[in-house]
Amino acid sequence: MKAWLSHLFLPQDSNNHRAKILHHQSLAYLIIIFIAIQIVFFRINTSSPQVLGTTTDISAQELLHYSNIERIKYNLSPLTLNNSLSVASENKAKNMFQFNYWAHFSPTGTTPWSFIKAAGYDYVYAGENLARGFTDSQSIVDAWMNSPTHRANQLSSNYTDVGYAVEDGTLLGEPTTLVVEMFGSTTQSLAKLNSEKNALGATTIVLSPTPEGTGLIPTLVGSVGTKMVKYSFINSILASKTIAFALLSMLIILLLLDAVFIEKKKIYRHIGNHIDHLLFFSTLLFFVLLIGEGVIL
Amino acid sequence: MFTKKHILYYIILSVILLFGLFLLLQKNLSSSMHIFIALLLCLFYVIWGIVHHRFNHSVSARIVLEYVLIGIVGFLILNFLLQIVL
Repeated sequence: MKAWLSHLFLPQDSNNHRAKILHHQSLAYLIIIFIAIQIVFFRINTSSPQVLGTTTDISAQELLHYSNIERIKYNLSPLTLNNSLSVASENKAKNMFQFNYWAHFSPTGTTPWSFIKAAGYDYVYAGENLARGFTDSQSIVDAWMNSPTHRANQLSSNYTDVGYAVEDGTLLGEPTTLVVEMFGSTTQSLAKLNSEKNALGATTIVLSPTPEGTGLIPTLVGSVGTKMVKYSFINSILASKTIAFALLSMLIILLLLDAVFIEKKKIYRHIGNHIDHLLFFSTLLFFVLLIGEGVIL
Repeated sequence: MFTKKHILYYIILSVILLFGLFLLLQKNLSSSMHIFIALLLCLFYVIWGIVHHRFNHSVSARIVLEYVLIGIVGFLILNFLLQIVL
């Protein structure tokens, strides 16, 4: 066993002075094994998400809370949760799952504004932010705040109301949690906001650090599609990152060992450039370390 | 191995890889765009490796195969992560 491991990982006579794992044949086996691991991983992820999946805890209440914290930082009035906008968001999310698209406009040309109008919200200004693949509310708001266009929506003084939908389903062949955020304002809500501003003067609004028990945030009673709590025995994101990290670290260490070995022994070999390979795998390792969950639109 | 002659190749490779990494970390791109960028990045790596060896007059079928295999390993890792994490 020890000799076999040494043959696999350390340059020596038996492997022509190059770790067996770095030989072409072994790399081909590695590709086949990795494809097999991926197939098994995706199968379990799809069929038994309670075993291998993402642990998700997203709610409209938290999304509203973290969004309002950001608005108050910039001296903007907090948004109010609006039931019609939540219905519009929910219909949009369901439409995306039904017609299998990830876009602001549906393949049939339906606009976000159509959903808002159909829900009975007579808007003056309206906007939409989308997110999918996230596991918690704070990460979603952070991702929106880090994107200039989404940030513009989050911090627009033209909006007074907001609605959220958090829906689970299969989009583009992958199980995912979709979050739709729809902003809006009506003539009445803008007039009310302006009169409140005049009455308040320079009063500072303070939000409590947790969403619960905040007077500024309306309680959601029996709303459908506004909260998603899922638990998985094994976190698929952590598992996939661990597998990728282990594989890349192993390859980087083996290449470094090989480079040191041939430099030390002054062996000439007709092989690929070690520094090319090391730069490539190091970039991928940085990707593993830096990649954050989810995408926004 | 790390001579002045090679430095320009390594710098160009590093810059392109870092630019690819920057694009892959963008959150407001679609999943298919992420996969496309990953594919382009790995393809660039394979081509650049071959070009690098060609300029050293050391390119051969074995070298090409090595870069192709490493490129495939890299793409599979990126694709796996993009599918699960994003």
